[in-house]
Amino acid sequence: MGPHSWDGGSSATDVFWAVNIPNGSAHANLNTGSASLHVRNLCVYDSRTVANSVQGVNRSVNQVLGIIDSLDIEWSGILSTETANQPVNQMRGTFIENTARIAVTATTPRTMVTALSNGHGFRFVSDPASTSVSNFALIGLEQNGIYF
Amino acid sequence: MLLGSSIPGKVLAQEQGLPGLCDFPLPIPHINVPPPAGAHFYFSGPISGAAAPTDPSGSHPEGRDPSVIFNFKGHVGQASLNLTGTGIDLTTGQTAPYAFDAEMRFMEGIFVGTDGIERKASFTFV
Repeated sequence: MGPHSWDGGSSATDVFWAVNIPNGSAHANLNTGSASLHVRNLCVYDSRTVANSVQGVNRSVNQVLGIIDSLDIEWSGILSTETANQPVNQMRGTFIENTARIAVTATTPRTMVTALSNGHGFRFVSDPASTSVSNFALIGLEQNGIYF
Repeated sequence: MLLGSSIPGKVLAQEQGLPGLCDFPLPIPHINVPPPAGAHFYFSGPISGAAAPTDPSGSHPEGRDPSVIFNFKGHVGQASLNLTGTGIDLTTGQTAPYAFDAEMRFMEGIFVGTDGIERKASFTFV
Protein backbone atom coordinates (compact mmCIF):
# COMPACT_ATOMS: atom_id res chain seq x y z
CA MET A 1 0.00 0.00 0.00
CA GLY A 2 3.03 2.24 0.47
CA PRO A 3 3.36 5.72 1.87
CA HIS A 4 0.76 8.42 1.42
CA SER A 5 0.83 12.17 1.95
CA TRP A 6 -2.25 14.26 1.28
CA ASP A 7 -1.79 17.98 0.71
CA GLY A 8 -3.67 20.95 -0.65
CA GLY A 9 -1.01 21.92 -3.17
CA SER A 10 -0.01 25.49 -3.88
CA SER A 11 -2.30 28.11 -5.39
CA ALA A 12 -1.60 30.12 -8.51
CA THR A 13 -0.35 32.81 -6.15
CA ASP A 14 1.92 30.41 -4.21
CA VAL A 15 -0.25 30.15 -1.13
CA PHE A 16 0.99 26.95 0.43
CA TRP A 17 -1.28 23.96 1.18
CA ALA A 18 -4.33 26.16 1.81
CA VAL A 19 -7.69 25.01 0.51
CA ASN A 20 -10.88 27.06 0.55
CA ILE A 21 -13.55 25.50 2.76
CA PRO A 22 -17.13 26.52 3.51
CA ASN A 23 -17.56 29.44 5.89
CA GLY A 24 -18.50 28.16 9.31
CA SER A 25 -16.22 25.13 9.10
CA ALA A 26 -14.07 26.52 11.89
CA HIS A 27 -14.96 28.11 15.20
CA ALA A 28 -12.74 29.58 17.89
CA ASN A 29 -13.33 30.96 21.36
CA LEU A 30 -10.22 32.55 22.82
CA ASN A 31 -11.87 33.04 26.18
CA THR A 32 -12.15 29.30 26.72
CA GLY A 33 -9.17 28.27 24.60
CA SER A 34 -11.39 26.10 22.46
CA ALA A 35 -11.73 25.77 18.71
CA SER A 36 -12.92 23.26 16.19
CA LEU A 37 -12.46 22.46 12.53
CA HIS A 38 -14.87 20.18 10.72
CA VAL A 39 -14.37 19.50 7.02
CA ARG A 40 -15.98 17.01 4.67
CA ASN A 41 -15.05 15.95 1.13
CA LEU A 42 -12.00 18.09 0.60
CA CYS A 43 -10.17 17.59 -2.70
CA VAL A 44 -6.41 17.22 -2.22
CA TYR A 45 -3.35 15.65 -3.79
CA ASP A 46 -1.81 12.37 -2.69
CA SER A 47 1.89 13.03 -3.15
CA ARG A 48 2.91 9.85 -1.25
CA THR A 49 5.67 11.46 0.82
CA VAL A 50 5.99 14.70 2.76
CA ALA A 51 8.99 15.68 0.63
CA ASN A 52 6.87 15.27 -2.50
CA SER A 53 4.02 17.23 -0.93
CA VAL A 54 6.32 20.11 -0.08
CA GLN A 55 7.74 20.26 -3.58
CA GLY A 56 4.54 19.34 -5.41
CA VAL A 57 6.25 16.54 -7.31
CA ASN A 58 5.99 12.78 -7.88
CA ARG A 59 2.24 12.60 -7.47
CA SER A 60 0.86 9.26 -8.59
CA VAL A 61 -1.37 11.08 -11.02
CA ASN A 62 -0.54 14.72 -11.50
CA GLN A 63 -3.93 16.13 -10.72
CA VAL A 64 -6.04 16.54 -7.63
CA LEU A 65 -6.84 12.95 -6.81
CA GLY A 66 -7.33 12.48 -3.13
CA ILE A 67 -10.17 13.16 -0.77
CA ILE A 68 -10.18 14.12 2.85
CA ASP A 69 -13.49 12.40 3.51
CA SER A 70 -13.75 13.78 7.01
CA LEU A 71 -11.51 15.88 9.19
CA ASP A 72 -12.32 16.81 12.76
CA ILE A 73 -9.92 18.69 15.00
CA GLU A 74 -10.69 20.01 18.46
CA TRP A 75 -8.47 22.49 20.32
CA SER A 76 -8.87 22.87 24.07
CA GLY A 77 -7.26 24.29 27.17
CA ILE A 78 -5.07 27.29 27.83
CA LEU A 79 -1.39 26.57 28.41
CA SER A 80 -0.24 30.14 27.79
CA THR A 81 -1.42 33.38 26.22
CA GLU A 82 0.75 35.64 24.10
CA THR A 83 0.24 38.87 22.22
CA ALA A 84 2.30 39.53 19.12
CA ASN A 85 3.35 42.58 17.19
CA GLN A 86 5.68 41.55 14.37
CA PRO A 87 6.72 44.38 12.03
CA VAL A 88 8.80 42.06 9.85
CA ASN A 89 5.83 39.78 9.26
CA GLN A 90 3.37 42.69 9.35
CA MET A 91 1.28 40.70 11.81
CA ARG A 92 -0.22 41.28 15.22
CA GLY A 93 -2.63 39.32 17.31
CA THR A 94 -3.42 37.37 20.43
CA PHE A 95 -2.66 33.68 20.65
CA ILE A 96 -3.28 30.82 23.06
CA GLU A 97 -1.15 27.72 23.15
CA ASN A 98 -3.17 24.63 23.99
CA THR A 99 -3.58 21.04 22.81
CA ALA A 100 -5.44 19.48 19.91
CA ARG A 101 -6.90 16.15 18.89
CA ILE A 102 -7.62 14.87 15.40
CA ALA A 103 -9.76 12.27 13.69
CA VAL A 104 -9.53 11.89 9.93
CA THR A 105 -10.55 9.62 7.09
CA ALA A 106 -8.84 10.10 3.73
CA THR A 107 -9.06 8.28 0.43
CA THR A 108 -7.01 8.00 -2.71
CA PRO A 109 -9.43 6.48 -5.23
CA ARG A 110 -8.59 3.65 -7.58
CA THR A 111 -6.99 5.03 -10.68
CA MET A 112 -4.85 4.14 -13.65
CA VAL A 113 -1.64 2.26 -13.05
CA THR A 114 1.35 4.57 -13.24
CA ALA A 115 5.05 4.27 -12.54
CA LEU A 116 4.30 5.64 -9.09
CA SER A 117 1.10 3.77 -8.22
CA ASN A 118 -0.44 0.32 -8.62
CA GLY A 119 -3.79 2.08 -8.99
CA HIS A 120 -5.41 0.02 -6.23
CA GLY A 121 -6.72 2.94 -4.25
CA PHE A 122 -6.17 3.47 -0.54
CA ARG A 123 -8.12 4.62 2.46
CA PHE A 124 -6.87 5.65 5.87
CA VAL A 125 -9.20 5.61 8.85
CA SER A 126 -7.68 7.09 11.96
CA ASP A 127 -8.05 5.69 15.42
CA PRO A 128 -10.31 7.74 17.73
CA ALA A 129 -9.21 11.34 18.25
CA SER A 130 -8.43 10.60 21.87
CA THR A 131 -5.47 8.50 20.74
CA SER A 132 -3.79 11.28 18.73
CA VAL A 133 -0.76 13.08 20.13
CA SER A 134 -0.57 16.87 20.15
CA ASN A 135 2.99 18.08 19.62
CA PHE A 136 2.08 21.75 19.33
CA ALA A 137 -1.21 23.59 19.08
CA LEU A 138 -2.47 27.14 19.23
CA ILE A 139 -5.45 29.25 18.36
CA GLY A 140 -5.54 32.98 17.88
CA LEU A 141 -7.04 36.12 16.50
CA GLU A 142 -4.67 37.91 14.16
CA GLN A 143 -4.42 40.53 11.48
CA ASN A 144 -1.67 40.85 8.91
CA GLY A 145 -0.77 42.69 5.73
CA ILE A 146 -3.07 45.63 5.07
CA TYR A 147 -4.79 44.97 8.42
CA PHE A 148 -1.54 45.17 10.40
CA MET B 1 -32.10 56.07 -12.27
CA LEU B 2 -29.92 57.13 -9.40
CA LEU B 3 -28.76 54.48 -6.98
CA GLY B 4 -27.19 55.48 -3.73
CA SER B 5 -25.79 53.45 -0.91
CA SER B 6 -23.60 53.95 2.11
CA ILE B 7 -22.38 50.38 1.85
CA PRO B 8 -18.81 50.16 0.58
CA GLY B 9 -18.36 48.51 -2.78
CA LYS B 10 -16.19 45.79 -1.34
CA VAL B 11 -19.00 44.57 0.89
CA LEU B 12 -21.42 44.54 -2.02
CA ALA B 13 -19.00 42.48 -4.04
CA GLN B 14 -18.85 39.86 -1.33
CA GLU B 15 -22.53 39.72 -0.53
CA GLN B 16 -23.66 39.56 -4.11
CA GLY B 17 -21.39 36.63 -4.75
CA LEU B 18 -19.59 38.15 -7.68
CA PRO B 19 -17.65 35.56 -9.66
CA GLY B 20 -14.32 36.25 -8.00
CA LEU B 21 -12.45 35.41 -11.16
CA CYS B 22 -9.20 36.76 -9.78
CA ASP B 23 -9.81 36.57 -6.06
CA PHE B 24 -6.79 34.46 -5.20
CA PRO B 25 -5.46 34.98 -1.69
CA LEU B 26 -1.87 36.09 -1.36
CA PRO B 27 0.80 34.25 0.64
CA ILE B 28 2.53 35.64 3.70
CA PRO B 29 5.90 37.18 2.77
CA HIS B 30 8.00 34.73 4.77
CA ILE B 31 9.67 32.02 2.72
CA ASN B 32 10.76 28.94 4.58
CA VAL B 33 14.44 28.03 4.32
CA PRO B 34 15.68 24.44 4.02
CA PRO B 35 14.35 22.03 4.78
CA PRO B 36 12.36 22.42 2.60
CA ALA B 37 12.90 25.51 0.50
CA GLY B 38 10.71 28.01 -1.19
CA ALA B 39 7.31 27.77 0.45
CA HIS B 40 5.54 30.66 2.17
CA PHE B 41 4.90 29.28 5.65
CA TYR B 42 6.31 28.85 9.13
CA PHE B 43 6.46 25.45 10.73
CA SER B 44 4.48 25.11 13.93
CA GLY B 45 6.03 26.72 16.95
CA PRO B 46 5.64 29.51 19.47
CA ILE B 47 4.52 32.87 18.11
CA SER B 48 7.64 34.38 19.70
CA GLY B 49 9.75 32.50 17.17
CA ALA B 50 11.59 30.50 19.80
CA ALA B 51 13.10 27.22 18.69
CA ALA B 52 10.72 24.29 18.86
CA PRO B 53 10.93 20.55 18.13
CA THR B 54 8.15 21.00 15.57
CA ASP B 55 10.18 23.49 13.51
CA PRO B 56 13.23 21.99 11.75
CA SER B 57 14.14 25.42 10.37
CA GLY B 58 15.14 26.68 13.83
CA SER B 59 14.28 29.88 15.63
CA HIS B 60 12.82 33.02 14.06
CA PRO B 61 13.75 36.31 15.77
CA GLU B 62 11.01 38.09 13.83
CA GLY B 63 8.37 35.71 15.24
CA ARG B 64 6.09 33.23 13.51
CA ASP B 65 2.84 33.94 11.69
CA PRO B 66 0.64 30.81 11.78
CA SER B 67 -1.46 32.09 8.87
CA VAL B 68 -0.36 31.32 5.33
CA ILE B 69 -2.78 33.95 3.97
CA PHE B 70 -1.67 37.59 3.80
CA ASN B 71 -3.93 40.63 4.05
CA PHE B 72 -5.93 38.51 6.45
CA LYS B 73 -7.86 39.27 9.63
CA GLY B 74 -9.56 36.56 11.63
CA HIS B 75 -9.22 33.43 13.70
CA VAL B 76 -6.46 30.91 13.19
CA GLY B 77 -5.84 27.46 14.55
CA GLN B 78 -2.69 25.42 14.22
CA ALA B 79 -1.83 21.89 15.26
CA SER B 80 1.10 19.56 14.80
CA LEU B 81 -0.10 16.05 15.55
CA ASN B 82 0.77 12.38 15.39
CA LEU B 83 -2.01 9.91 14.72
CA THR B 84 -2.45 6.24 14.06
CA GLY B 85 -5.07 4.22 12.26
CA THR B 86 -5.74 1.62 9.63
CA GLY B 87 -4.79 1.70 5.96
CA ILE B 88 -6.97 -0.22 3.52
CA ASP B 89 -6.12 -1.32 -0.03
CA LEU B 90 -9.34 -0.58 -1.92
CA THR B 91 -8.72 -3.34 -4.46
CA THR B 92 -7.51 -6.25 -2.34
CA GLY B 93 -9.07 -5.27 0.98
CA GLN B 94 -5.71 -5.76 2.68
CA THR B 95 -5.31 -3.71 5.84
CA ALA B 96 -2.28 -2.53 7.76
CA PRO B 97 -1.56 -0.22 10.69
CA TYR B 98 -0.51 3.26 9.62
CA ALA B 99 0.93 6.24 11.43
CA PHE B 100 0.83 9.81 10.15
CA ASP B 101 2.27 13.18 11.08
CA ALA B 102 -0.26 15.94 10.50
CA GLU B 103 0.41 19.66 10.19
CA MET B 104 -3.05 21.22 10.18
CA ARG B 105 -4.39 24.77 10.36
CA PHE B 106 -7.43 26.87 9.70
CA MET B 107 -7.86 30.53 8.86
CA GLU B 108 -11.36 31.96 9.06
CA GLY B 109 -12.08 35.64 8.58
CA ILE B 110 -11.65 38.23 5.86
CA PHE B 111 -8.90 38.67 3.32
CA VAL B 112 -8.01 40.88 0.42
CA GLY B 113 -6.64 38.96 -2.54
CA THR B 114 -5.38 39.72 -5.99
CA ASP B 115 -8.47 41.64 -7.06
CA GLY B 116 -8.24 44.04 -4.12
CA ILE B 117 -11.70 43.15 -2.85
CA GLU B 118 -12.32 42.21 0.76
CA ARG B 119 -14.00 38.84 1.14
CA LYS B 120 -15.08 36.60 3.96
CA ALA B 121 -13.55 33.17 3.61
CA SER B 122 -12.32 30.08 5.38
CA PHE B 123 -9.27 28.03 4.55
CA THR B 124 -7.73 24.89 5.89
CA PHE B 125 -4.05 24.11 5.65
CA VAL B 126 -3.56 20.48 4.69
